[in-house]
Amino acid sequence: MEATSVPHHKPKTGKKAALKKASAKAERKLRSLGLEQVSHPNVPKKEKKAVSGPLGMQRKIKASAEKEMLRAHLAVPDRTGGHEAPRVVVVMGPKGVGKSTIIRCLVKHYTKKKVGEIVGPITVASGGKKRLSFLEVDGELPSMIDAAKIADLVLLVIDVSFGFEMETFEFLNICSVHGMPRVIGVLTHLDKIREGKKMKKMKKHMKNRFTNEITQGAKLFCFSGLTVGGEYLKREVQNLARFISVTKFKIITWRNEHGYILVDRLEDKTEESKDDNFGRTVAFFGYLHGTYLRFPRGSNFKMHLPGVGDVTVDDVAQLPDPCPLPYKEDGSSRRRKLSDKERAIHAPMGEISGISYDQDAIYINLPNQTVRLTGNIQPESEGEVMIRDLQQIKSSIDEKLQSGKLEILRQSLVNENSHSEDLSNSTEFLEDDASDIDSQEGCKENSLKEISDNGSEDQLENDAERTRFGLGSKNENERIIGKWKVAKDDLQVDSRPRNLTKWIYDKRLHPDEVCLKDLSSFIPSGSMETDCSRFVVTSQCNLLKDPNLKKRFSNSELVEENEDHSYESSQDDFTDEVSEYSSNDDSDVNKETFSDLSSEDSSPDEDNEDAASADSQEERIMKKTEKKMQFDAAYDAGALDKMSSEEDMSFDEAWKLRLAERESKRKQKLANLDEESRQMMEGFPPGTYLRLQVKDIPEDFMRYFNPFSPLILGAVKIGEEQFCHIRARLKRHRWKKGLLKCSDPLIFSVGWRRFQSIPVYSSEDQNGRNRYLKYTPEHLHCDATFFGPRMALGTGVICFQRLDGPNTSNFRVAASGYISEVNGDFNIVKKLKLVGEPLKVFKNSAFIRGMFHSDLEVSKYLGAKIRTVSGIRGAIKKPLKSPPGAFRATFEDKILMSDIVFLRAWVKVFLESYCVDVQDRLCPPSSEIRHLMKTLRELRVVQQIPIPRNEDSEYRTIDERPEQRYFRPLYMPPSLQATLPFSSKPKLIPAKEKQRLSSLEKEMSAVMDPKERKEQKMFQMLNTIRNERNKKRKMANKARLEVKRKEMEREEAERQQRIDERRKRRYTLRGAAKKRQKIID
Amino acid sequence: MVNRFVKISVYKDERTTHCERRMAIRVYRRVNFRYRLLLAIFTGKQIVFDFSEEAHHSKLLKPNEISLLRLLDRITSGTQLQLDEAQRLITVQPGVLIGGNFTHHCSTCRGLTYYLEFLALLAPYCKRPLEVTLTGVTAHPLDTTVDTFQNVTISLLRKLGLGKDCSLKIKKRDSSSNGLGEVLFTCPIMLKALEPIEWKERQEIKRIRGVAYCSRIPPHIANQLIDNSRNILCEYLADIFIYSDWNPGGTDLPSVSLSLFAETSNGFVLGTDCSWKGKDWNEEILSSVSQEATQAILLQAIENSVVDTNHQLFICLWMALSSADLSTVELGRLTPCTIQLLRDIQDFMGVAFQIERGSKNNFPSVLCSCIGMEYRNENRRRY
Repeated sequence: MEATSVPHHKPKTGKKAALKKASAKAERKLRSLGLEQVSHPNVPKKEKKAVSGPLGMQRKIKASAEKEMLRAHLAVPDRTGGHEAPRVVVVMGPKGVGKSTIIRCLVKHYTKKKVGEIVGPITVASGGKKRLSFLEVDGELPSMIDAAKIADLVLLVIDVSFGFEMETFEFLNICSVHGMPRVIGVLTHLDKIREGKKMKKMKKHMKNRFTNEITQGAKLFCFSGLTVGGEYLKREVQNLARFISVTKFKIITWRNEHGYILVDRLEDKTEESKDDNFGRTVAFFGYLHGTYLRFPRGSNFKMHLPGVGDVTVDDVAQLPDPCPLPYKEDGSSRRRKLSDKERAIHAPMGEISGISYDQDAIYINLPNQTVRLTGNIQPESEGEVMIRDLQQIKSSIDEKLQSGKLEILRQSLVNENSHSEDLSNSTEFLEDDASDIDSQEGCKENSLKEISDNGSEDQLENDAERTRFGLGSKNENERIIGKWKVAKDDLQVDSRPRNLTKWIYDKRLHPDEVCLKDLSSFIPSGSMETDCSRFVVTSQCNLLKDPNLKKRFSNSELVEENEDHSYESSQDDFTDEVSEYSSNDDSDVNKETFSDLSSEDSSPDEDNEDAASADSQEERIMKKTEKKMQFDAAYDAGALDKMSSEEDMSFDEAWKLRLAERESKRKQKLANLDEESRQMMEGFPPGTYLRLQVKDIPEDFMRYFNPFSPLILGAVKIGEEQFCHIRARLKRHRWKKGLLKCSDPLIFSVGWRRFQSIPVYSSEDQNGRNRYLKYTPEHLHCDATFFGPRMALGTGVICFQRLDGPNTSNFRVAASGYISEVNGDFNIVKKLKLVGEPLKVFKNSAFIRGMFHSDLEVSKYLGAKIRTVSGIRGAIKKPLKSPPGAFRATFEDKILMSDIVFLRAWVKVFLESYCVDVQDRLCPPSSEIRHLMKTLRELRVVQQIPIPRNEDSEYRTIDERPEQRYFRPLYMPPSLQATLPFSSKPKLIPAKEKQRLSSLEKEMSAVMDPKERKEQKMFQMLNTIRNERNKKRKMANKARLEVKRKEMEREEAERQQRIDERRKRRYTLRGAAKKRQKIID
Repeated sequence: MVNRFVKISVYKDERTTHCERRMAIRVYRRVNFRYRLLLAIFTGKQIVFDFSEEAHHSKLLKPNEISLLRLLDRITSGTQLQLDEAQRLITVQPGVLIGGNFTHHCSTCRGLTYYLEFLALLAPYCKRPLEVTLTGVTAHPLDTTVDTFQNVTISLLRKLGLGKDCSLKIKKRDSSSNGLGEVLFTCPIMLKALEPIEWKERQEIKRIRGVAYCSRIPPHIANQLIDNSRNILCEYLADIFIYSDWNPGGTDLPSVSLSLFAETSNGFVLGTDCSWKGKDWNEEILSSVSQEATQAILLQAIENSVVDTNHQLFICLWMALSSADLSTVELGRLTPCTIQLLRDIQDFMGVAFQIERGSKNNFPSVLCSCIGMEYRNENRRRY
C-alpha cells in the first residue's frame, strides 16, 4: 500500500527559508542567462508533460463544473424592498446572560440615549438609509418561535461561565426550519473566568461548537467585561455595531411572499359602553416587513396573530413614519455621520420617544417627572392666548372642510332625476364635455363615431329586430338591449370615461352599463347569466365599409415575406389536430399542417405569383448578397464574437437579467400611477408604518398582554385559509427523549401559525402503499399526515409536544421537516390479518370457520385470497348456512385440519380532522395553555390510570413444546408408481449398507505364502518396538510431570504463606492505626 | 340526482371553530357561475350561491350547473357541496385539485366547451395530469364549438408553456340532445407559477382557417357555408382554408356550425364561430350562420386584441394567477362578463387591474395590466 505523502510545510522564516530563497534566486538568475541548473544525478527528474491527457482535462472541467453547480442557486426576485423596512435584530439568550445590556449598549451607540427596561421592539436609525429594530427574546418557547420567524439577524448571547444552554440550540433549530437568518454569537461574562489559560480553552471550545452548529466562519464576539456603569466596553460595542451594519441579509422564501407587521404599539379601541366580556377592537401599529401587503379592497380580510389565531382586519391606514430614515431616496447628502437630531428612536412600548401618532390624533407623552401642571392661570402673552384657543377647538380643519359645501363644477350636477345619485358619483371620473376639450377630441379620435353617424337609437332598435338563433337568446338580447336603452336615456352624458379602471371597478354600475359607455356597434351575444362572453356584430355595413379593416390583414405579398421567418415559428401555435382532415401521409405529422395546406390552398393564386416570381427572384438575390456583405463586415469587425457571447450567456445570468427587466418594467408602470391606484395594484410596500384595526379579539388578549414577547401580525396568503389534510416529511429530533406516538397530539409551527393537530405517521412502501407506523422511526424520516391550514409546499415544519409547562432539561423540539403534499384525503393503510380454521376438509376445498361473524361479512369478502401457514393459497367461495360466518373455500392443494387459514387485508386508517390554534396569548403568563389536547401519557399521569396490561401480550417462558408429530409413511398407488420414471420410483431394494464380512468370508481366511508371512512378521516386530518405545516415553513423562507438580505445589504453598504473612502484617498495622485514631478522637 | 353531493360535515367540537370562522363569499345572482366557481377553487374560499333572488324558473340549479358541480367533484378531493332543502342556497367548499383519468357525461343543455373551458383553466394546477373523456354536445348555439377550443384555446394553453401534451381530440361529433359527441382532453400540470404575461401589439392577420360542420343535412351545404364565408373574406386575405366535416345522421335535428380561426403574423390565434340547430333549415339560415361567423372574425380583426372576446376571461384569470410581476395584455372591448370577472378577481384574490386605452386609435383596444398573485401549483407532490 502506498501511503499518501503529505508535503511538509515549507519554512517561511529562519535560516532554512533564507537559504532556499537564495538558491531560488540563483536559479532564476541562471535561467535568465539561458542556463539550466544541472539536476542532481541521483534524483529522478520529474517528467513534464507538454500536453496533459484527454481524461485529465475532462476530469478537471467536470470537477470545476460540479463545484460551480453546487454553489449555484437560482436567483429569487427580491420583493422585500431592501432596507426600506427596519431590519429585525433578535437578541436571544437564556435568562441572565446579558441580553438587555447588549441592547442598551447598542441603542446608546446609535442614538446616544439611555434606555431602562427593554419593553417591546426598539427601532433606531442605524445609518443614512438603514433602520434596526431590536427585540429581546428569552427562553420561552412561544416567543422563541415567533422571534425566529421574523429575525433578520440573531445575536445569540452565551454566558461563557455557564456554557451553552439548551435554549440556544433549540432556538437555532427553530430558526433553521423557518428560514435561517444571519447569526452572530456574543460571549459574555468572560470576566468570571480568572485564569487566562482556562479562558483561552473555553473560547476555543465555544468557537468550535458554534461554528459546527451554524457554519464555518460564523462570527463570534467576546465581550470581555463590564465597565463601572454596568455596560460593555465601548470599543467592543462599536465593533459589534460595525459588524451588524455590514451584514448582508438573506432573502427568506416565506417572508418574500408574506407581509408581516412587528407590532410595536397597540391600543384598545373598543367603545367604552361595551362590556368587558365582549370582543375587543384593537389597533395594532408597526412597520410592514416582508413583502407587499395586498388585500381585497372594500372588504375586511384575515391576518394571523400568533398566539390568538386568525383575526379579521377592519381597517388599514398608513401613518407618518415615526422613525424616519435620515436620508431620503433622493437625498444627495453624503455625510459620514448622523447629526443627533437624525438619530431617531421609536419604542412606544418602552415609552422612550415622546410622540405617538394615531389615525386622527397625535399624542405627546410626557414622563411623569417632567410634568409640571400650571393650573388655572390667566394667559398673558398673545401666543399663550392662541394656544389656549387652539385647545378649545372641537372640530379640526379637515372636518370643517368636509362639512362645508363647495361647488367646483356647476355643470357636473345637472341631473336631478332618480338616478342623480348614481350619476353624481359617476361624474367624479367622467369627463365633463363642456369643461374639457381634450375629452371631446379623444372621443372623436376614436373610430367609434357611428353613434353620431347613424343615430344610436335607430341602431339599437335594428338590433332588437335582429334575430338570434338558439335557445331563447332572442329574448335575452331584447332584455339586454332594453336595459341599455333605459340606461342610455338616463345617462345624458355622452363622453366616455377617461379613467377606465375606476369605471370598471365601480360596483354601483352593472357591467352591461359599463359596456354601454364603451360600445357602439356590438352587443354581447351571451349574457353573464349564460357564462358566455361573445360580441356579435350588429351593423354589418359599417364594419365592412371600415377602411381600416383592410389594414388588419396582411396581403399576399406580405405573406410571402413572412414565410421565411415567422411562418415556421408560429406554426407551432396552431394545434396539429387539424391535420386529421388533411389527406397527407401520417409520416408527415411533424411537418405542420398549414405549410402543406397553404401550398394546396394557394393554387388559385399561383398564376399571379408566377408572373411576379421572375421579378422577385432578382430582388431576392440582391437582398441575399447585401446580407452576406453585411455579415462579412460584421465578422471582420469582431462583432460576431460579441453577439455570440450574449447568446452564450449562462442560464443564471440570463435569468438575472430577465428578473431585472421585469422589476424595472413594474417600477416604471407603477411610477406613472397615482397613489391610490398604485396601492390598489401592489398594496402597501414594506417599510410603511401601518395601523391595523382588528375586531373581535378575545378580551383575555388585552388582559394577559405580555410586551416582552414579540407580537406579529402576519399576512395570510390567499388559499391559506383552506383546511385540508397535509403531509409533511418529518424526522424526530435526535435529542428528543422517546419516540413520537401515532395519534398523539402534536403542536406544529408552520408559517405564521402554531396549531395542535393529530398526526398519523406512515412510510411509503416500494409499491406506493402508505403503511401506517405506530411510532416515528428512530433515525429516519417518515411521513406525518395531519389536518391543518394549507401551506405552500416545502414550507418548514417544526413540532413540539408542549409549548408551556416548566422548563425541563429535556430538548423540547420534537421533530422537524417540510410540507410535501396536500390532499383532501390520504390513503394510509394498516395490515389486518383475519384468522380462521378448517371445519371440514375435502379434497381441494374446505369449510373454514372463525374468520367472520356473519354471512354478510363473508359475502363482502367473496373471492378474497386466503392462505394457510404452510403456504397453500386459496380463495373464498361461498358462505355456509351454519355456523354463522363459516364459508367454503378452495385451495390449490388439500389442506390439513391442523392448518390455520389467513386472510391478509389492508384497512384504511381514519384521519382525524382536528386542528386548534395554540392560544398562548390568551392565558396568563407561565400557566397551562387552554384548549389543548393532552398526549395519552399525560392523560394517564393526570388521571392516574396505569398502563393497561394484556395478559396475552406478556412475555413468558414457554414450557410445553408443541407435541411431536408423526407422519404416516408416504403411500404411492401402484398405478402411479408404474408411470413414474425410474429415478422417482420408490426403490424396493434398500440401499447397500457398508460391507461387512459374512460368516463364510470369516471362515475363508487366507493362507499366507512365505513371503507374506515374512513381511507380516517384520511388521509385527516393528510394531512391538514402537509400542515398547511409546510405553517407555509415557512412563518417563508421567514421572517428570509428577516431579514438576510437586515442585509447583511447594512453590504455591510458599507463595500463599508469604501472602498470608503480608496480609496479617497489614491487618495488624491497620488495626493498630484504627486503635490509635480512636484514642486520638 | 342532486343528493349525491350532499356531504354535510358537522364540526361538533367547538374548538374547531376555525372551519366555521372561515370567510365565505356569498353571491346573489346567477352571474358568471363557472368563473366564480373557478375563483373559489383557486383561492380555496367557501362560496355560497344564493339564487333566491332570481326569477322563479331559474331559482333551482340548472342541469348544466349540476353537471359542472359533478365534474368539480370528480377532479377535486375533499370538496364539500351543500344544498339547502329548497335547493336555492348552494355552498361549495372547494377541495384539492387532483386531476386524473376519467370519463364524464356532460349535460346536453350546454356544449362541451362549457365544460372544457372550465377544465382547461383548472387542469394545469392539478396533482396529476388530466386525461378526461367528455361526452355531450359538440356544437351548441350558446357556446363555442369544440373546433374553436381545439384551435384557439389549446394554442393559448400551449403558449403558456404546457407543450404538445396539451391537446383535444374530437372523437365523435354530435349536436343532438342524446349527447353522443365525444372528446378527449389531455393536459399536463404546471410546476411553477405562470411567467408574467406580456402580449401586446398584435399584428395583421396572416391566414384564416376554419371548420364547417353539418349533420342531417346534405354535405354540399357545408361547402355552401364555406363559399359564403370565403366570398366575404377573400376581399381581405388570400390565405383562407376551411375544412368541411359531415355527419350523415345519428342526430335528432339537423344542425350546422362554422368555426373560423384567424392567425396573426406574430402568432396569435383568434377564433369565432356560429352554430345552428333546428327543425327546418333553409338557405337564409345557412347564409346567416356563415355571415355571423365571418362578420365576427372581421370584428376580431379590427380590434387590436391578442385574443378573441371569448378568451378575454382566460387571459384575465391567467394574468391574476401569474407571478408577482407586471403582466400587460392588449384586449379588445371588454364584455360584461369580463368586467364582472375583473370585479370578482378583486374580491376573491385582491388583484386589481389597471385598464387604459390602447395606443392605436383606429383599432379599439384596452391595455390591461396587473400584478399577479403568484399562484403556484401547490396541489402537486413534492419529493
